[in-house]
Amino acid sequence: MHAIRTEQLHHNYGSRKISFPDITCEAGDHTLLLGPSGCGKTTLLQLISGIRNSQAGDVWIDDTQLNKLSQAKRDQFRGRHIGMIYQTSHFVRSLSVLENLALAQRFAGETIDRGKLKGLLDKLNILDKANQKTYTLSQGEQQRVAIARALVNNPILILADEPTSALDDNNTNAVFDLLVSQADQVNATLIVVTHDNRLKSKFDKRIEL
Amino acid sequence: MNLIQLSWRSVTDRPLKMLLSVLLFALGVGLISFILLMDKQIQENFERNLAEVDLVIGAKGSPLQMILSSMYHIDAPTGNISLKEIRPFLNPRHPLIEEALPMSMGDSYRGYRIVGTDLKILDWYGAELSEGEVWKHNFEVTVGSTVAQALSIKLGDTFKSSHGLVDDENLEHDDAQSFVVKGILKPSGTVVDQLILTTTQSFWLVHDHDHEEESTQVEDEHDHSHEGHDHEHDHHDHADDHHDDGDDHSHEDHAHHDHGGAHNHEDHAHHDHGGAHSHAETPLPLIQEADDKEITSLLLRFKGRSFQALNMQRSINENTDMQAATPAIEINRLFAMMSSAEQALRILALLIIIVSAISVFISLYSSLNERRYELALMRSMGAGTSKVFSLIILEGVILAILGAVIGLMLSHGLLYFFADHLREVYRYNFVAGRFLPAEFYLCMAALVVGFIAAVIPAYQASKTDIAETLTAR
Repeated sequence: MHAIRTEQLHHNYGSRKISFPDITCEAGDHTLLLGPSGCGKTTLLQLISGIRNSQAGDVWIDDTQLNKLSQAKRDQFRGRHIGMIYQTSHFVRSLSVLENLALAQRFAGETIDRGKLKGLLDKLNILDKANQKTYTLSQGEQQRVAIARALVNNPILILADEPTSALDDNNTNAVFDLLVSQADQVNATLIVVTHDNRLKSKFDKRIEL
Repeated sequence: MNLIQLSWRSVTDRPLKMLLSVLLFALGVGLISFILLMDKQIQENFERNLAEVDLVIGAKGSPLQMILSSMYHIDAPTGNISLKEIRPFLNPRHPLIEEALPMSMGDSYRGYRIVGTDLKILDWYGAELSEGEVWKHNFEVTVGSTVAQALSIKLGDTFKSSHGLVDDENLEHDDAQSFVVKGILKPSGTVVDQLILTTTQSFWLVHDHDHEEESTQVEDEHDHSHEGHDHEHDHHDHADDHHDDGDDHSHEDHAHHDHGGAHNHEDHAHHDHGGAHSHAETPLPLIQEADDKEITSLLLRFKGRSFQALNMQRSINENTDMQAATPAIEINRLFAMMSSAEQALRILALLIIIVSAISVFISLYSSLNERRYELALMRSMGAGTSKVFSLIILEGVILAILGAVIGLMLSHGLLYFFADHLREVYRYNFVAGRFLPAEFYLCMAALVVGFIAAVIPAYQASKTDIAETLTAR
């Protein structure tokens, strides 16, 4: 029984076909996904999260076969069980930091728990920014908010796509350590895509594409 | 943080971009609402003041003008008619006529019209006393509630009337006896609220008086060209009286003289002529006054609508120097004229609303590009396509509702600020705080327009490809 399992995943970009190796991760595993640019790291992450439809092959997360779910069910599942962190963080511009987190709870179908959200921001050292608009924050602060948002619903799986590539060395370490420790706290499986050499030493488990 | 709050935040986050759409919507909705309000209130005003009057008899001229002046006190009167001509209609035993109400007009006090008439006018318009009593003697007045309020009139106040229907001190009948306020009416919602009521005879007395000094003032008065037609006629009127009375009579004398000449002794006895002369006397019933006396018009209520009644109108128009007109018909004619002007305004308002819908469409559509990340993000956070669709639809609807609400505020605000001016024009208290059911439907329609304008952007937004958008670097 694996937390994450992919079988025979393929994706076609026009005439270019990418075949992915089968991946298995145990619950709580931290896995680094490595490979040269253009090899399909991001695509694999998107196939696993279900924001891109797999053209061939299966994705299992716990007991759920993601690629068999309807679009709406898949959106729901992702909102509820998967936390996503992107290279550049995107937010809803009109909302404050706290409201952006609340929105993640709302879209996952959870009731909004301000205490919990503030607790998360506190742990990530950005509680004082709770009521600011996200675009007033620095890149490092924005990535921390993105991490907080990924953790909001106690996900089974956290997918991070180049989470530190926009950050300087200091921030890279701080943000990455936070990501790992917070994932541990909620016992989430963590898959990080990166070509950032600064991170390579940090994980034992690596998958090379 | 539900969808409505979220879309509200999105809309208000870009206030300048949304301003044009909202303003256009407000303009369109405001214009329609204003037309509706004016139309409704003017129509109600006209209908409420019909007072079951079946026929109006007055001097020849425009029938609509006669109706407007005699029943709505808007336009200038068409002229005067003599008692000789209308005496048959005053007869209580007339087979067709149930009641007749004489109207004498042409004077005013600080812009409010003084009407010489019968106490019956109170019943006709359903007016009731608020304080004091009704006018019983000459130079006693009972004032409508609006007049009392606007001019801060109290019981026992006295004033002198002005010649003509506009507020002009130079035209004051300063030699005539003053009117005394005997009573104030409750608000009736009819034109009576705007009137100062007195006896028909008071009018004659004021003008006879006037006339005495007119010999020195004639030239002066002729200069008041703005009085126009109305003045001309009244002036002519005085001249007639003048003739009859003779210069050697004092006004007290001639008043009695007239009575004495034309009427039987029974009435005479009724009338106390002895002692000190004053105008504060009980006037005779109009039917007993002299032939050459004049009133402005006569309002008739028929016993029933009959063939003869219809014939009477035609016969008056064909065989006399007077004209007769049916209020309902003239007012319908007026409505028909108004409605074509309204129609043009409505079309304009509709065009504005269509443009505002296009503006909503453009502002939503163009915002999609800069918002594609956040829309993709929402989708990746678990918001289904239907949620994203609803979000954009809600934004369109919010813009429309904002526009509609501001539009209604505009139209009601406009009515509020122009109420005084409109009251002078239409002799009617426009109520700015009143909302019509039609305005509710107007808001619903605005909502639908907002919805329709947002459908294409919303569809586009729901089709956002999350993966492609979020991968783009």
